Amino acid sequence: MKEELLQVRNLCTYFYTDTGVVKAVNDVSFMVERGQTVGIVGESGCGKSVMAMSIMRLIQNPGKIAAGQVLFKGRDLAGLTDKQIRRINGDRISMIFQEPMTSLNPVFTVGNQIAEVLLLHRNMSKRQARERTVELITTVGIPRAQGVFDSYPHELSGGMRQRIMIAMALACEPELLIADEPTTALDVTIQAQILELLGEIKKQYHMSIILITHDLGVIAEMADYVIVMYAGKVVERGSVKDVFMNPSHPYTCGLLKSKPQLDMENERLYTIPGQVPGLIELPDACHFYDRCEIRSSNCKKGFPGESLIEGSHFAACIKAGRHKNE
Amino acid sequence: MTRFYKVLALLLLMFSVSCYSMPFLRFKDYAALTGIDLITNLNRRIELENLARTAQIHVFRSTSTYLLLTLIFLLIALGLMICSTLKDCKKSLDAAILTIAAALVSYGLQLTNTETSVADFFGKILLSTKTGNGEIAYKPSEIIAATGIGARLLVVLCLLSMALIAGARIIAAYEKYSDSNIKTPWSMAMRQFVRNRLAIIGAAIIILLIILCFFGPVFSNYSLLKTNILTAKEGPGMEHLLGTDGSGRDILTRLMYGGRISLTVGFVVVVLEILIGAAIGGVAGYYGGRLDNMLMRVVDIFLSLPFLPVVIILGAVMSDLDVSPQRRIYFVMLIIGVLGWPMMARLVRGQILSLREQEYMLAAEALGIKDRHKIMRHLIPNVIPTIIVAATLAVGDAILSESALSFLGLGVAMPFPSWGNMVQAVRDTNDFMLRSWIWIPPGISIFITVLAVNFVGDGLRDAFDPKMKR
Amino acid sequence: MWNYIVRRILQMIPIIIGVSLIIFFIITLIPGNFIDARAQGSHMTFEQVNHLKELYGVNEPIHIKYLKWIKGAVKFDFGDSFTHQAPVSKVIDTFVWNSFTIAAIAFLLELLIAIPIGIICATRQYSKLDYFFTIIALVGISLPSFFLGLILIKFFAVDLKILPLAGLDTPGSNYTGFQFLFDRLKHVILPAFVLAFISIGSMMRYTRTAVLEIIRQDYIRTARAKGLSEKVVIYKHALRNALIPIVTLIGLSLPALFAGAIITESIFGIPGIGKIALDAVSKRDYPLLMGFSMFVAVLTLAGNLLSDILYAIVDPRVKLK
Repeated sequence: MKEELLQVRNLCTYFYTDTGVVKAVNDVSFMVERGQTVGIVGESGCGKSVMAMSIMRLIQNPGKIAAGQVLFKGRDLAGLTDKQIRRINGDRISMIFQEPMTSLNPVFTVGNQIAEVLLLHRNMSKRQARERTVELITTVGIPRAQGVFDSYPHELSGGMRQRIMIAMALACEPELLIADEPTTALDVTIQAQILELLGEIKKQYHMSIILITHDLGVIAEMADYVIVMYAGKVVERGSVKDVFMNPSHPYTCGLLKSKPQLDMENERLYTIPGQVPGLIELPDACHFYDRCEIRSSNCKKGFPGESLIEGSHFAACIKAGRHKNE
Repeated sequence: MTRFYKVLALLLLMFSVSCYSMPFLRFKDYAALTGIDLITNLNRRIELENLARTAQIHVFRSTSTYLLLTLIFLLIALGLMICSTLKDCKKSLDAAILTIAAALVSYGLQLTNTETSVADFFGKILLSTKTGNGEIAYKPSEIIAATGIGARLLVVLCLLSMALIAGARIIAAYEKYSDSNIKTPWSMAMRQFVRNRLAIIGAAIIILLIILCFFGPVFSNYSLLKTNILTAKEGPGMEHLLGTDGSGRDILTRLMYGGRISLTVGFVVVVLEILIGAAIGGVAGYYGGRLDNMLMRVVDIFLSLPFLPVVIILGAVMSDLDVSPQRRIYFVMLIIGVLGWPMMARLVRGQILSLREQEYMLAAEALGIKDRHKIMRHLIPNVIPTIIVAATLAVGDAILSESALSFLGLGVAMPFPSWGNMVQAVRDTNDFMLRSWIWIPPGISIFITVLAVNFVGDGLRDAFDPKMKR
Repeated sequence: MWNYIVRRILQMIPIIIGVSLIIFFIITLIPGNFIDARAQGSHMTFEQVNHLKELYGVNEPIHIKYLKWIKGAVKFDFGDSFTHQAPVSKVIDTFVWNSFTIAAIAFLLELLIAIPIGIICATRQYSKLDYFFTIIALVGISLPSFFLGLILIKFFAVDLKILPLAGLDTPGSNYTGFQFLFDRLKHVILPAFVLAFISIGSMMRYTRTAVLEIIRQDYIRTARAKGLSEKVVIYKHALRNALIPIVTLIGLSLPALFAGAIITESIFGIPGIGKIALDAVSKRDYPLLMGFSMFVAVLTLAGNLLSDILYAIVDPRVKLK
């Protein structure tokens, strides 16, 4: 049964700096179903992390959610009070971050930090919280959990720290887990282990995951649905199969072409020409215009709306598929 | 617009040079007495030669070095201004400002009081001019009055021209910096600094204080040292804006002279600290190993010395050795500087240690760049912000230390004023309780100066800190 | 841990020796000596003066004097104070507690006020409150201590007459119990305020800088993502990390607690160790001076050591080798 868990509608998160307004997330809409893994892909600076943090209302001054809705099980998270959001964060929605090195507080034991979530959202005694925490540490694949409970973050390796972060995120059995580049800072072998762990957890807890990454291989392996972002906007979205087999936006094509294959025989790797634009004062036209290989003068006349390619596969390019409005 | 400023400044400079000849405008008949006579009696070659020789002697002997320097600086500034008006070069504007400032400083050092203007070049000539009967033609008081006006005009004109040039320069710089596309670390820091209101206020206060203390006395009619029992302990009034002290001396004038000492001490001490501290800290940090260890032991020893007790003891030693009041000032600067360099050394060493490990240093090493080059182009520009911030804050500390020392009677000695030793007046309980105009103004001056310096130092620290961006 | 402490103490020894050399050298620069100064107005004969000089070892060569002094110093015997006619260590012991009282009160005030305000300023950076407290902090570090003291005395003691002019106790009084405490408090409050005001500024700015740095860290973001209230995030997660630099600053404040505030005590007439030292300078009582200087130097080094130890205690990442 396809039940909608999260629906992001026309979300705009802007940063009001002294040098101008940075439109980090500019009119983004997508949906996450229960039990589904949605991957968000894009280069650095395209707004994916900001969007993830907007969902949890973690955006601080000078940024704020300027417009749009984030409907979680029907409630608009963007309109809730701080107190209401805090009840949801860590409990129904939780997040793991990119840098396990710095994401854990160095002066508290890891067990303490995991138990903190339990003590906050569940009415447990300290002893119960400790027991549950040890269980969690074992669940994420760390042996000798009792000893690890009393260790400090600096005593653990990067992979173990990320597992602790996952344990912390799972403590209250959330319905949605947002993973912001969870494996980027880790070795490749550890990467595989963490992804495997996430896969197991997803099945065990029937959790939805929003997986943010710039690595297409991770998307291919883990995600059901993928969203491609560029300069604060969604440029293509669809099931992983659709998007990978039939990339319809020039940017997606470029990304797929850039990934080196083992059996390639070219001398030079493909790169998308040009650079990601600065996010201040972007023109009202396709943001990819400067780097696009199939651009035309029509592309400058305002931002292209989404064109339906097939089923749930959309691309924001005037040369892709049929226009939704037609 | 900038051109207008520059031309105006040029004219003002020309006028200020001519201020030297002010006395001659006053004493028009001087020409009648000597020049025209000589010209009509051209066969009196001997007199002409004598006059030329006397003039030569006067120029090189009687004129004080300071006045000569002032004239030279002003002429250089004039030249620079002409050059910059013709070629529109920014560097010559900067140089012109500095040169005028140097001229003013040397002028201020000479002309501490209108009394001493008799010693200057034109004063001496006028003094030695005799009438036909062999009597002295001009009274010293007349000469003082005339040169006094000239002196005041010169200061005002120079300051005005400096302000104009600075205005032109700032407009040019503003146009350059407001273009947000230029993003060197220095221009970004400057932009951040200028936005800090407190820092700008602080900088303005410091500039005002410098002008007031170094050139204010030129405008004052009162003497630094002359006592006058008749006017002693008068409250503030029309005659004496801040009243008089126990010996009848004008407080405002003494405040200005005291300010010179306090500001100079602050500045010199910090320069000393930088020279010694940065050098030693830099060497220790860069070369490391045993040299570093040894130097840091020395630094530790100095840092463990209790500052105030040692400084007080040295002050007492100076009193016992009967160091003259003039000399004491220099010793005070030396002492405070020598006790302060370890802190700077530590800071510089710390910064260099962390910089050394940065990856771009490794890259430079990998590229095979020579040692000296590495130091000059990579290390030093990154240490300079730390030094600047530490130095600015050290100025405040130095001024406080000097004033505390002088307050205890162990620093700058009477009769020379320093803000600290002016507060000493509280030793007389009556003065303390009833005549607050004697000791409160110097205290407030210390406070405001150090506050302004701290504002600026704080602003600089925020400006150079890469993490504190809005 | 104890290994570390012992090693540090051993490292301190050459420094203490160096300090003692410098202090000794400076003091010997003082021309003349106590005996001659005393003898001037009196009717002592030449032989009597010489005899005294020999008794006190005034005529001996410098290095002998130094060695004699060092021998005693190691046993904490710094000789006898000339002016107080008592062993230097006893003199210090008598007066240091007056200084300590005032310094301790000031220190407590400083901690209780500066740290919370520093945190508030950091969490509300660039707000009006931050601006206001920044200015107050800068005022605090810019005011000369003697001037602040004088102004306060003038205002409270002379103009308003609600607090005493100077001293530790009202002269000629015989209070006991509560009245004694109250009287003492009246005398102590102004000097303590001066000391506190001067140092609150820097402690507050230091805290602010530390907290600002910390709230930018990733683990604070994690704490927020867990749903913790802002209060818990700041006062548990951030503060605990800020404690690391703060605690090192506390350690370094150790010397100030016992070394007395020379200027403030002089102005307020408090018979503390600072004032005694100042008097010793004017009376050329150099055993006392040397003893006091060494006392402060050792305290400074101890403060450094304490600071490092506290740092290791508070930061679990640091292990003292």
